[in-house]
Amino acid sequence: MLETAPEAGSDKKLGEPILTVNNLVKHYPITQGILFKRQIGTVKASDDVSFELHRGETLGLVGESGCGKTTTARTILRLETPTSGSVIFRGKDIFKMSQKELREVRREIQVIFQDPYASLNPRMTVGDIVAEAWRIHPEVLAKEKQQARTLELLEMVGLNPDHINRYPHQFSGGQRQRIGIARALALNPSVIVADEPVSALDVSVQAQVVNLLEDLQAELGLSYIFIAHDLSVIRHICDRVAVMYLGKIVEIGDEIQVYEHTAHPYTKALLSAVPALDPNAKQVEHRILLEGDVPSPADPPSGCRFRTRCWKAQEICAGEIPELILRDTDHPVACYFPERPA
Amino acid sequence: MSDRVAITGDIELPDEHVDEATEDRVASLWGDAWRALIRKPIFVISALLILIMMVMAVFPGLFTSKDPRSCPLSEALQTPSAEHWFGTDVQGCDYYARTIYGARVSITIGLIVTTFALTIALVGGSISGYYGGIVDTLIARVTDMWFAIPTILGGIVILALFQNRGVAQVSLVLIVLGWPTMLRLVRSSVISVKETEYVDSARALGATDFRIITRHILPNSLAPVIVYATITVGVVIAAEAALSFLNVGLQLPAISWGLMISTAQNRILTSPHLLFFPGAVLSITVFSFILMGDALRDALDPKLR
Repeated sequence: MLETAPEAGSDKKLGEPILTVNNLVKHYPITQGILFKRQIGTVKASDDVSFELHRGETLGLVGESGCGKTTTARTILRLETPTSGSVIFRGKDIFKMSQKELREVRREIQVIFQDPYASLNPRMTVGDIVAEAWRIHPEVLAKEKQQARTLELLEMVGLNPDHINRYPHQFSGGQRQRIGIARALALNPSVIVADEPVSALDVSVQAQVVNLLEDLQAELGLSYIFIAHDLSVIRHICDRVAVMYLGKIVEIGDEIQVYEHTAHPYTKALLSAVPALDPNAKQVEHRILLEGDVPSPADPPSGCRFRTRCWKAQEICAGEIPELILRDTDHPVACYFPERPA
Repeated sequence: MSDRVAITGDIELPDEHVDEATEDRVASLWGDAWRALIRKPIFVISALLILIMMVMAVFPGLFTSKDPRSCPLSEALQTPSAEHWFGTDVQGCDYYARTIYGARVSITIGLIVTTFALTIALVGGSISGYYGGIVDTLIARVTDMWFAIPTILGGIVILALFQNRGVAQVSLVLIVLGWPTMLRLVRSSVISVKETEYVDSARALGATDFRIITRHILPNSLAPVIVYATITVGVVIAAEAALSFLNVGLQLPAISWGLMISTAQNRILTSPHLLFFPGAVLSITVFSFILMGDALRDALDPKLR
């Protein structure tokens, strides 16, 4: 069932997937004791997550804080070791690779972080930050070409190349995020994982950075995994969207499917919370107020993780975990009682 | 996909402009710290005092023409005068010359012990903090146990085993007993830096552990360690004096402030200058290093600026 999931219902012609995530699970043990640690529980940060990313596409991962978006991203980058599951990049599982193969993959999958103040080494100049990629992978670019390429990259992301010798603290948040983007581009990657790249920025600067990312995608044919909790930003930049709740994808589809033909009650609730800016827009349905808090990922509810806060929940929801499949909907949804297009 | 958002990157917002006046000034964090330091009177004073002590240690001849080892007994126990600025000791040696020559031992031990303890701390603390897990548990617990040995008491016990105690033996003991605090400091500093996103992006670029530790983690965790190391120089100098005073440190005929104080204790009432001068110079030296440490802390911690 899962193989059909990402393509289902999409009219857009999608190429071969460049990156496939299969049943990715990341559990963090909760331990106690100083010398002899024993496990007293697990945090199920990312639980059975599967999706595909196609060439030149932007896939959005959206959800509340703590729903496992960042853990999923970090695991794909192999900054974390997964509990189980696989990430197939160009036909090979990155978790089964040798150090040498992994080095090659690192050139292809790059990252942009959320906090522009924490993601740049304060004791390195902008030039050194961007050029570090080539110090690590000297085979990519000859030493004498590095300076010129750094200037080119700074120009490309909209920074003044004269500032190559400045330090990060001399730049604003938006400019720092551009430095982070230049660093990610240095190795000519094919996939960029952007972990909330605009959440920490002012709204006007957010738009600039989002537009820059779109321009770079058009120019360089990049694929993005774009993580955000802001539904409007996601809608603006993403071709496809996966909605996460408590470590699981509850709904995945293209932009129209998720935003217009919303099937999962959780997505419905999230969307109803987005303030409408256009007074002429069709009357937004009444705001759905979710009761209670997100349950602890260390002790998630049985069956459907959302059932404790769902107004549609019935007995069946507490039993088997609903699979992410087509249920008379135009895209896969993990709910026994999905909303269906009228 | 929807239309482009109204504001484009081309519009020049104040955000995108850093004033051009600062164009050529390359302001690294170390550079900033240095500029902040030289404006601090406390730093300038302590640095000058330390500089004087250093010169005294290397070229004592610049400060006195007298030989600290020429001791005519006929001139014993004189009070300070134009001839003998600090008076003379029980052997008749010029006390000023002895005080000057005493700096060498103190400064040498202070620097040697701090350098070696710092090296142990940087290597051990980085490995422990960066790799975590069983390696960290091992290093951190051994450090904690070592940490529990009191420096002076441990020094007395170990040094009592040596028949001949010179600069090397005293330094060795102080190194052996002195590294744990510094290692704990390096370790905690490394742990806080290794979680940062710039370390993660270096890992995502495929950087080796060595590169991550030396290029990203250590430069950013060094500030508190430098502060502590500076203070340690002072503390070690005081510890050497204490050990010598307790007769388990340096042995005569070595010239050291601690030994001078030790010898002076029998004549505190009759010749108080014998205690006063080495005591004062020792205090000033230790104090200078501690002041310097404080000034460095203020300059290196961006949060206090």
